[in-house]
Amino acid sequence: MQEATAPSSVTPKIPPGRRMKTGHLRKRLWRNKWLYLMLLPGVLYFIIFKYFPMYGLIISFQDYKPYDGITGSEWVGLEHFRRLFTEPDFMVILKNTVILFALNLFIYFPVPIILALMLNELRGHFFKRLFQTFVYLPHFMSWVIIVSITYVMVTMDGGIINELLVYFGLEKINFLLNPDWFRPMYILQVIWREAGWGTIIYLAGMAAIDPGLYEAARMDGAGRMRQVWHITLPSIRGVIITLFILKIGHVLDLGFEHVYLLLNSMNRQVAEIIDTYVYTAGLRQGQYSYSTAIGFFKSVIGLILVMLVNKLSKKIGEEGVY
Amino acid sequence: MLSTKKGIRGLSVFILLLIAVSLLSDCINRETKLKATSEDRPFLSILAPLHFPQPPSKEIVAEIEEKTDVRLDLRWVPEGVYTDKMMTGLTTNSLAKVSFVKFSDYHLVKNAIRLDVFWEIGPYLAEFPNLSQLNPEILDQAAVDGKIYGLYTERPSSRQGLILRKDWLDRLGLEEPQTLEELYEVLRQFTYDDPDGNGKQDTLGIVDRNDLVYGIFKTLSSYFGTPNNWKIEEDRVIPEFMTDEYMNTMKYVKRLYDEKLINLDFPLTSKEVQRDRFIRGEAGVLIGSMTDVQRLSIEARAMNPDADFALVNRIKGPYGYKVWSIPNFNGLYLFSKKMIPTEQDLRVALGFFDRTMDKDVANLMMYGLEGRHYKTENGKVILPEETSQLRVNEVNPLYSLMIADISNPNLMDVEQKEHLTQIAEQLSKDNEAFLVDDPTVRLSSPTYDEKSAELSTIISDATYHYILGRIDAEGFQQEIERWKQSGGQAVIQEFEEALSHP
Repeated sequence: MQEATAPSSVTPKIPPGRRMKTGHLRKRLWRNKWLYLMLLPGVLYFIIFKYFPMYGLIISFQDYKPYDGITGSEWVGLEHFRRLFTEPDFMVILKNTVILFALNLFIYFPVPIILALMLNELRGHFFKRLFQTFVYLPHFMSWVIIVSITYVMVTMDGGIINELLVYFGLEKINFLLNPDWFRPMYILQVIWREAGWGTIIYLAGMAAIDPGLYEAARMDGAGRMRQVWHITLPSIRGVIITLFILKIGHVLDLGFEHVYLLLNSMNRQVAEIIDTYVYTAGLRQGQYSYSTAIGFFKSVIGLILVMLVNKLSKKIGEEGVY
Repeated sequence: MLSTKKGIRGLSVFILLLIAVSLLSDCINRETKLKATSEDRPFLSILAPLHFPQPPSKEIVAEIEEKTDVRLDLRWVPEGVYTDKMMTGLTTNSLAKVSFVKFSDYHLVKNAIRLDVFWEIGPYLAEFPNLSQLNPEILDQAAVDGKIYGLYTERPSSRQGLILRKDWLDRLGLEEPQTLEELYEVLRQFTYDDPDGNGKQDTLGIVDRNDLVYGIFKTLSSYFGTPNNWKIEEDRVIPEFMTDEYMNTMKYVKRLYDEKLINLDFPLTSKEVQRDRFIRGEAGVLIGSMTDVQRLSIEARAMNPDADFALVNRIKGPYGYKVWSIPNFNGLYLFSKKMIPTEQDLRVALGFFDRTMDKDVANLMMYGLEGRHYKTENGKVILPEETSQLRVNEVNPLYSLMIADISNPNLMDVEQKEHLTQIAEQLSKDNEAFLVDDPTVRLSSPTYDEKSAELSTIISDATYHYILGRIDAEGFQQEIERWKQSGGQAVIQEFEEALSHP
């Protein structure tokens, strides 16, 4: 609020000019010192934990040896990036990553919206709260637990799902070792763990809708579905688009832990994604520069996609994230 | 409004309490730490693998510290994740002062050794009474470019064999298997003929885990006559998986899988789950280290007092008896240059290991405390069955720390061991009559040192795919081609060159 009033009271008195402007800036800084002070921890956080580590990206242009350090390692230019695009394995990994990303975007993303709409239609405070809490809960379990529970449920030797299949006279299915089942399992687990948590923001958005709108719609004879379609959904459109952009920012960021836990010798050709490959190539095989180059590549793609979608959403008349 | 205010107050009281408690516990901690530092002993951190469910008892460690005059920081890492942990430490340059490296991971650290990350300890060994007595041949085998970097741990060359449920064999009227076909027959009957007599078909022939080397596969493959990793034929070096014997092993295991005589999830099964299923009487055969039998038997009998076990080390294959061996050293302790800055500090670390070979410390680490864990009779050790579990919990993990124990004359002889351990050790000795050694132990290949992890993944994945029927023999050949192109061909060439220019 101070910021809004400050310029209007000061600007008319001071004519434009470089020196004057710096003085003006200093004054403004001083006046809002408490606000800036409050901002400081956030800025420091980003500098220390987000910007400073980027200095490590240098090693993707070097033949990095940990014992020689960044200063001592030999420079190789774009050698690692050349290898990246010529390695046959890389195309497979990129494909796997993009497919999982697409599953996330087209199958997972709508689920919390639908869930939130359904929760919103629930009458009775008690039930609404109860269901909300139930669907949140899995979010607080780590992937290790989610994957282990799945393992126990679908294992070939005594897993409940396979026992049920046998009970109904069907063949057992080797869910864990069959590459065809990796992707369905992945996305189901993501929905299981995250869908409930994802509803929070949408529900908050829906709570802000003016109840008068619904009342008016009812007067006009609109049923439940009509109300959802014409009032609820358009009202949370901005929220949906913002979350969509943020989601795209995490392209290729599919949860290392989760995929690594599901990965095994039998499904490697579909389950190896960029994150897990960076880990195996980098930490287990000691190819630091190469794995840094891959990570770098991934981040650049993510950045480009976010900028594209942001532009797109501005074009269709919505606010972007920046 | 009122209720939320109350809630907030309640919450803040709770948080205050939390802070108070944590501060208090911090104070207490600090006090105990202070006490420890007041003793002015040099400090030694060691990264070591833990082969048992829990680390050794504090009491014995304190006793060792007392005797060796150091303060120990033993970083126990479960054996299953040891390689990862060690590699992370190595790459982030945050290893302990002294770190253990398994012989099977040795090539992974050779590059680091060449880059001077570890002390060359060779020149210092003569200063120590025990270390100077180490076997020069083994030291030489473990050397890199002729320089000695590590203190070796010893293990018998091969402890591999079959552990079977004797009571199941007896109930079905079967003999212990002598050949691969007889073994197959035992596994079939163990699966389908209700060996536990409960009227239900709920047993498996054999239980395996996600490890082609220490699981059942490599041992079975040596029964088939597969070379140990590599074969040298005239001047050519051939990897094991390009031999017919390897293919035959895969076919054999595939048959077990197709006929459901083996746990169908074996590519995912962990060591713990494997042991657990065997202990619970879900499977009748385990192939692995025979010396495990004592612990398995104790745990199995706690659940089913009738469980009885037999050991078999001789399974006849097409080439007679064979079993793969490990090199004369099982692993090495390496000394980090970064963590041990001066020669003086290095002498302290070496001095500790020298001291562990002395009579008092060596026997303490091997057998525990007299009276509590073992008895003596005529200067010989008696290890009673009753203290078996106690030794597993308190003493046995320390065995990882013992260097050169087999040839150490200071260790007391054992007069009487548990029955099963005794048989297991006898059979391990019997294995020495037909060992298959890895012929490339002394050869070196830079490509192999750099890429072995990537290369072995290609082959182990392909092997699993073949066994589970996802690829056929031709598909397996294609994977071998991929292996060659990914650096395997270079490895073969480098080994062959090393062979012709020794």
